[in-house]
Amino acid sequence: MGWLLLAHIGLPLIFGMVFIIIVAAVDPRSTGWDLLGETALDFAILGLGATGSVFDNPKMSQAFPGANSTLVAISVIAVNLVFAAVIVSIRASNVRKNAHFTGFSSIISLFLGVLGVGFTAGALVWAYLHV
Amino acid sequence: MEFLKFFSIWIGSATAVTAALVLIAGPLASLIRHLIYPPLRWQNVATPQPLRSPQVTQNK
Repeated sequence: MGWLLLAHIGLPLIFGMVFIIIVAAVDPRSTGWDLLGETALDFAILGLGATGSVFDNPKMSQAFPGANSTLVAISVIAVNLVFAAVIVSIRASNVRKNAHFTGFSSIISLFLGVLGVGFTAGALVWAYLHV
Repeated sequence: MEFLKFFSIWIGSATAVTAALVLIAGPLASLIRHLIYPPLRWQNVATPQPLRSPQVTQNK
């Protein structure tokens, strides 16, 4: 249960704080809700990038034998890509209108980004709990 | 049943992390910006100079 909580709450929280620090330090113009929108995009990139290293783990091959491991990896990437596409489309819509993130759109973006990272980490925890 | 439990943990934890980050983001960003870009202090601001130098006034 501890690993489950670390994967789903601890790691996304730490990464989120790091992303907020980086965005606040690098881009002084992104204020308010824009800060969370940029953080959401970083979460989406992290969720996609971490999938490769997670499925390189031998436990994943044991939990999902044969070609199933590859199929699960592709599924995780597909779900993460859907989340990333929604986040990018919200951001692109704001850029097109020359507008800022609203409270609702930034919270939805951040939620989807955290879901993506949690999905990747959850696959690893699932494998460790079932082998 | 186990999948449902996993799914609820996934959604619930994402909601909790999002709420925590929404609360943390503002103060954390203000702190970082305060450390990196400190506010101007009056002693650092140059003293305002007159628009015309005294030499120009003397020539007139």
